[in-house]
Amino acid sequence: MSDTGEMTEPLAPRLFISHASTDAWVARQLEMHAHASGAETFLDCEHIQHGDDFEDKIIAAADRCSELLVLFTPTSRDRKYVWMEIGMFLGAKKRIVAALYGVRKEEIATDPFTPVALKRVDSVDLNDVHTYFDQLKSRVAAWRAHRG
Amino acid sequence: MASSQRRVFLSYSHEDEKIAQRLRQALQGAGVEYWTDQDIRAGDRWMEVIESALNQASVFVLLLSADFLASQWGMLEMGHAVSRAKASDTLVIPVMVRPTAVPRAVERFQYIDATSVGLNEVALQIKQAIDQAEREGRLEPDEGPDADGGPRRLSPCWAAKTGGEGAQMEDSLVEVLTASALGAIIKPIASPSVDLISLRTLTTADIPAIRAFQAAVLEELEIRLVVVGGGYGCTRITVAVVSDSPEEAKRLLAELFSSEALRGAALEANFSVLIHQDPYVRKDLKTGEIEGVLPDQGLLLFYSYSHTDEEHQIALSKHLSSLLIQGLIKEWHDREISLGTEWVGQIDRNLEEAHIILLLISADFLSSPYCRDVEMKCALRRHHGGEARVVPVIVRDVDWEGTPIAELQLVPTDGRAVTLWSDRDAAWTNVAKQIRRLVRELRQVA
Repeated sequence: MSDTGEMTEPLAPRLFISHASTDAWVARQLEMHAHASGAETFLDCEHIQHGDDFEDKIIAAADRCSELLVLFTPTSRDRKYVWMEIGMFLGAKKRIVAALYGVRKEEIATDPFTPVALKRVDSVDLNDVHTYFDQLKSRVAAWRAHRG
Repeated sequence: MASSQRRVFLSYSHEDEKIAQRLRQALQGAGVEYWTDQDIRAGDRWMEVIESALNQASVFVLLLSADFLASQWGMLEMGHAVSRAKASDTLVIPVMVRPTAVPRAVERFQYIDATSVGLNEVALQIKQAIDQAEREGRLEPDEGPDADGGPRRLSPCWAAKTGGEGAQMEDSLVEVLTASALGAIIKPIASPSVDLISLRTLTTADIPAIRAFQAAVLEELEIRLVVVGGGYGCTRITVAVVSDSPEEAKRLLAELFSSEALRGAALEANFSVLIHQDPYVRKDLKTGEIEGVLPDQGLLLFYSYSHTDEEHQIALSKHLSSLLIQGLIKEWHDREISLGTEWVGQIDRNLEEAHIILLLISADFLSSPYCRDVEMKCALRRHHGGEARVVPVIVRDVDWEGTPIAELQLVPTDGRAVTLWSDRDAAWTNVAKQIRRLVRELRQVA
């Protein structure tokens, strides 16, 4: 996306995985699946070193990544940086998908404090998250074909 | 391009709502068009409105405090703003309203420290920042009307420009505008008749229903419907219906109110038609003239109250906002005093110039030497001299008999304190109606 919002050269499929620190192990499993789909990833617990500025790293990564996968759990829904990351991808009009673990779709749909943006985004139960990675794999293949 | 045309999104924590309310007033005074998410978060559909506002805003004002930075919504809106700021046509202005560390995410933006300057000054700095960004080309101009004069997205500015040709207003869009836009829209419309309806306690959640109704009925009838309110979450929205003649306007309004579409939209209970009660509109229907209906200066309303009763002053102000929107009054209270200025002089000046002085009576008011011996004394002197009208508003139960206000007409009815009413809104409505009657009376005398 260009500064003017017009489509330019599509970003390489690069996945930003947003999660709570207590869900890091699950997030790493998602990262492994993403790599298996051919996509690059950004996972804060993997890519932010001690001493790095956390927010700077996040902002830079959100800029580089083409889509956001939110690991939406009872813990992460209260984590403020998850919401900032959702806001950043919303603002950039990039794809957002929520992987639900311990949270039901119906819960999100009826919770008045969950932004409608998240209600509208594609969400998938963690048990069915392979469907998302299948689609991600297709996007990676399409991008590679586009690049020749 | 003036900053008043900018779509400014005001993002804040609910814990900072009072500050946000005052900043909204200051922004309005500075001529800045603002949108806020006030009261929106209680319902789903309101969130759609927030998103729409986020997407359309070109200026984000973030009211920073520890509560803001701890809130999910605050972080989401900040993330959105930071992301949008990468585009050349977006400006992010952090305003520190309570001391907190500036987050790295917005550190690169120059922030305004509202803990050391008054909110009027903050509003001015915001306006200056927008103006400067426009001059430097960092904010792209909003879209204007087509060269061929065809309809475009309605904004307060374009409404003013196209107002003489009401038909050029956007036909298919219900647009939420600020109160200040009302004058801009109505004033230049010289030939068509204009009728006003106030939709009381209408919420933004009702807008989809209005849109549906507009698509189904109004477009066919060629009614231009403009929703004017105090921003998102406004509890009072005024609708102007423009038609070719007063009779036609009345007929269309009757149709509007009898429509099944509105009944089905759960709006019915919230409607209150003011077209035949409001001198503003009655005058218009009699004469067919629009000019002069909205005065440049409304009657000056002065609030005298103990700071302990600030919540009551704010509540009353909200209930009087339709008078403000219609330009019938302008308000002054001591929160408008900027930090560092000489406050006694400002109070005295406004007290001496006020047309209507509201005394918010409580035990704290009557026991305050300043309220009782300075403000009330001055108010009563001007009242008895025929220079102003004093209205004692009994906000909390107190023994007022034997005090000078006992001789005056008290509100709410029979002097029953607002806090004693089981329905607080009913109490304030009772007060607001009596003040409206007084305003009407004073304007007729004038």
